[in-house]
Amino acid sequence: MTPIQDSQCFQVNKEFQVEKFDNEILLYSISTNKGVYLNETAYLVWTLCGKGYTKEEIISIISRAYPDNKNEIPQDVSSAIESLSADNVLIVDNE
Amino acid sequence: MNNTGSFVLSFCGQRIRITSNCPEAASLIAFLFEAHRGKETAEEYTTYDVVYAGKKPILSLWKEDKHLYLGESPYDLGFTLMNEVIYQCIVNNYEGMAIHAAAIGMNKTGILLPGKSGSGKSTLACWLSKQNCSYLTDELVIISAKEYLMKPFSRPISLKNGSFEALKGIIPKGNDQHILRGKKGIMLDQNFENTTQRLHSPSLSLILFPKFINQSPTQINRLSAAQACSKLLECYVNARNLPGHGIGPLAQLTRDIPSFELTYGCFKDLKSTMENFLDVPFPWTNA
Repeated sequence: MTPIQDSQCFQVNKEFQVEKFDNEILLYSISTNKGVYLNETAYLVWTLCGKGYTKEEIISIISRAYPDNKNEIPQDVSSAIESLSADNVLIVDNE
Repeated sequence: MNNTGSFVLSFCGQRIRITSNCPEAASLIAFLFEAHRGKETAEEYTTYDVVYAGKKPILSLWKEDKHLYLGESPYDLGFTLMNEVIYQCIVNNYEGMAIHAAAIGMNKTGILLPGKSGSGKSTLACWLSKQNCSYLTDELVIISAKEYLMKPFSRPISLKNGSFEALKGIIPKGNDQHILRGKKGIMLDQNFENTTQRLHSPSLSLILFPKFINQSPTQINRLSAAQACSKLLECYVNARNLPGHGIGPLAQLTRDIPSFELTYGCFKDLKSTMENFLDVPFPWTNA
């Protein structure tokens, strides 16, 4: 898979709808009957991607929100974006 | 066609007619679907015809004028017919949540074992049915959104060749009226020696996602509601028929019913793990 650039933006795939649980989110696609489970970090990443933030900006925002975990956050964000892209939840924004 | 038999199958509001042209064909149909024998009514049905022809005999399965099977194997015809019937039971089913799952009964409640083909749910259901659990199904359960009552599609357990080694000592040898053998597997009537009182519509109390990995140690891990819902979506076979794709009731079910993932590779340590987990002693078994 092509490495994700820091300046890359993503769109959320609008086919996926949201079902909220306590601290978790399930995205599901009606057309494919597929569910994608998001923990708290992945949900934040998905939300911020939907607002048009780049990968670099997302890392910065989440690091400010969770300063105790700032060493792990870049890898967590990268992993979340890769996973969500692989599941077609996030689509590269080519605009 | 000169029919000698007509079997009406009834399951959760769905009715299917299966005709047969000889006692052997009728016997095969009864082996597969006796648990769902229904009464003749005036309504029209989807109809399948099972035909045995000649001395050999050559078997064929028809849906109206469409040829679905031609050959010599009762197992292969039965397998094809079973898949057709299950599809018909799902495609226009708006009654509840149809889940591709095995199910067993224990302590008057039901345990759901959902999973895709090859996940080990039939093997686990077969083994549990020998541990004084009540076998309900290895294929399909309709769960009502109210009270989570389970309506299992009871049928002979369908076991693939790959599970025979793990179930050594449980699967009877030889041929008798309770086993249908084919090249790819067997169908085993579980209820002829299962003396545990059968539960017909138990209330769901536990969801256990089986995952068979050969020779792996037994592990049981708790799943969150969101994780369980995500996994159940893969097995939710009538979602398209339901309002909002049925997500609301499914999500609520996983909030209400505890869910676990069970990884197992052999039955040696599964027995003690399951006894501790379910807090119920199992009777002795050779497996």
